Amino acid sequence: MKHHLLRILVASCFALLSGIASANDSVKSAMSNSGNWAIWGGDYAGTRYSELDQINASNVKDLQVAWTFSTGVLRGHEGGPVVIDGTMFIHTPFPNKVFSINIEDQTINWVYEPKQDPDTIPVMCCDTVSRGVAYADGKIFLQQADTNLVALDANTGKKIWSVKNGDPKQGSTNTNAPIVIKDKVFTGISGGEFGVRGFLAAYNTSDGSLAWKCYSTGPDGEMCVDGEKTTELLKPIGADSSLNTWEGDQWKIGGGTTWGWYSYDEETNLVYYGTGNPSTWNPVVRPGDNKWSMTIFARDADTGMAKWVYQMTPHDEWDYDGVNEMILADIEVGGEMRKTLVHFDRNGFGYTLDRVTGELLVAEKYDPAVNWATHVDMETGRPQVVAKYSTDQNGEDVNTENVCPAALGSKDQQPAAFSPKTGLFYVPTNHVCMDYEPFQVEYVAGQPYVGATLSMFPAGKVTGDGTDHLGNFIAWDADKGEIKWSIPEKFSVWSGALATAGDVVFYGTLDGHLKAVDASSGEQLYSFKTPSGIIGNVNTYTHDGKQYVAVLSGVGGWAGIGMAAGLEGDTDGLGAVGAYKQLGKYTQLGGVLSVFALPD
Amino acid sequence: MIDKEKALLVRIFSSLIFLTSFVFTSAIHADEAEKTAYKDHVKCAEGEPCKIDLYLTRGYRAFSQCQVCHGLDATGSSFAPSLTDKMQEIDKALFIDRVENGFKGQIGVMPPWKENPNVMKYIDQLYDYLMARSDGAIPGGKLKRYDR
Ligand code: HEC
Repeated sequence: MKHHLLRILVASCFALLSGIASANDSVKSAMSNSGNWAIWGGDYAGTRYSELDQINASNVKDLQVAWTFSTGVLRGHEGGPVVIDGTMFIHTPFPNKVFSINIEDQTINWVYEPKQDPDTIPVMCCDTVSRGVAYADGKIFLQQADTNLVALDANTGKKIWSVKNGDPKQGSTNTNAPIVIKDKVFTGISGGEFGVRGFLAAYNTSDGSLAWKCYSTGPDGEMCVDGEKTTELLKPIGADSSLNTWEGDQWKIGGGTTWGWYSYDEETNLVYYGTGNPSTWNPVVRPGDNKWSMTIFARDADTGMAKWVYQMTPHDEWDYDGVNEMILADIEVGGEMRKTLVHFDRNGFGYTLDRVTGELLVAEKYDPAVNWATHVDMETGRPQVVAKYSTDQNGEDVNTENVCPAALGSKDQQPAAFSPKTGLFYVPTNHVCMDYEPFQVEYVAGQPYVGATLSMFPAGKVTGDGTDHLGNFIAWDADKGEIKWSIPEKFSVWSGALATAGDVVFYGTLDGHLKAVDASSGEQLYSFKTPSGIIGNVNTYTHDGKQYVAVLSGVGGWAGIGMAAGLEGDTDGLGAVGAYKQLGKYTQLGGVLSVFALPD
Repeated sequence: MIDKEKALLVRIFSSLIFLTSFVFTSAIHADEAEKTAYKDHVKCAEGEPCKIDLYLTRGYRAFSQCQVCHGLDATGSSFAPSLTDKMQEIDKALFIDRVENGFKGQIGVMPPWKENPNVMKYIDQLYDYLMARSDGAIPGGKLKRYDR
């Protein structure tokens, strides 16, 4: 308690001392108070780790619900609330409401509800999710589905400015949480299935004017890359690196969208994020590596210039978007302390890179079922694709069977957590495989542009190990590239994890349980069934010196689709019909925040 | 006179009944034929999964544009209804109207597809494919072709 007050004092002194606090300082001071949950990842590094340890491995079993809050919205609730000095900001899926809650008595300070054209909804491929707000400088930044990025007064909820970041009529929408670095707010774009060209944009926090916009594909200038200075695996990428890898003008409708999470390292002043799939899903019509789709970008946070890039899945043939979170952790790799970036890609490989130079250190499968590539060549960084699973080599109108992972990846956007105490990464995963058949489609602006049929089923059907579960929650050693332990889950684990100094790791399940496990052993210590399936991220904060754990339930998103996989009529492979029961038997729609605490 | 008139009326009346019932039953027949048109495109042999032809495969491909909402096997998702259920409730004309123009209902927004050639060119195939799914004549997912 005293400790906590002291921290607030120190933090506020810091804020005062720094004088004309820039947006960066306000975020940093908010983050430095471990009683807050100031940003999607808990910190700029995206570790989702909290120093709080009141709730620990020995007492977490006594956890109780402290209070709950219904958002009144039915669609899938991804992301999680932000907590700043006694106020909680809760966001919802479309219509993208924001609630400011006084944590003291759980009264509502204000509600923001934008008027958005419902025609935005059908342009959103996979449910109308939103992954949260960003806080800085007394403002709340919300990225609405209709692509409007708005700045709200954190005290009143009044709109300060709004800027249009894309055009839903052309298929662009937004689902991502923005982040604020220094005096700029960063956001991306969704719409890879509509042929939208991805970019990272930085807007000035003061008035919403565009500072810069850097595309994922196209001419060097528009991508903010320098053929001489921007490197991939330590080598300059050369001029026209993107244009050279597309046929004709396909890059203009070539995807590489940026709907995931963004991390930041103050020391390198680099912002890290990944780009999505090249469109269409038919790889035959877009020969070449399709750069820089499926790529990790490290960009200068002031200018947007790319320092390094790394394309994980050149010439995607399976829809393995590279947008998952980048976790910045200082860990030992090969006996040496390294400043790393750890990333669990949709393609099933867990990557460890030097985040300063972009050197590739480790690339190993984090689900043993992964079969589309044998391994990643550490010299070239290229995955060694297995011909049998190449939807391009097999060609159009041919069904490529039993590819692992499925299009939703060994993991989707739901962010992992890193505990510096155990040195382990805690990763929510999918254990799902697919059949994929590409075919010709015509492009029409603003219309879906998919170009493949697919079906999905439990990985056990392919591995033949007799299992039928659809997910695992794993602990990962990013130095060795090894799974430390793995907890099978009936459904895909679609909830962002939380690791704490109390040696507890939290995650939610699609059938609605909030679970706490021992950080070292993975042993389950606590489980509680929330009102709906969990696809939100678990957060923690303190109020009046007491630790709370919070999570949004509200099933939906692409997870809801993955669940229908193999539910019916699937006679070959597994006979265990039990596992195919519809998710609807376990949970129904509805957004509710559940907040947990130890009894007084 | 009166009897004659009466006889005439009866004749007119009965022919009317005959006519309407004829129109009516043939409408039902047309409707039924429309709903089961897929039968010409599905072949099932004992002990192996049913096979379809290029025509119905085109319907399945058009359906790939719908999978992200209605589920990979058309049984629905948390935000769009099961089409295997819906197809039993609506006729082909309404189906085409819904797909062409979209609509906003109790569950959410169904997008319009009239500008999408990948769907509209194959609207008959799509309808037949979904009817076959809905009647349980074929399972979800990719099916082998019998015509190649
Ligand atoms: C963006 C998501 C989305 C996509 C893509 C989509 N639908 Fe729908 N569809 C919906 C929703 C939501 C409803 C339910 C609307 C309601 O009843 O509120 C619906 C309803 C329907 C219905 C029921 C009509 C009725 O009268 O109840 C049919 C039939 C249908 N869709 C067919 C299709 C077909 C065919 C495709 C592909 C060409 C498709 N949909 C693609 C979201 C979608």
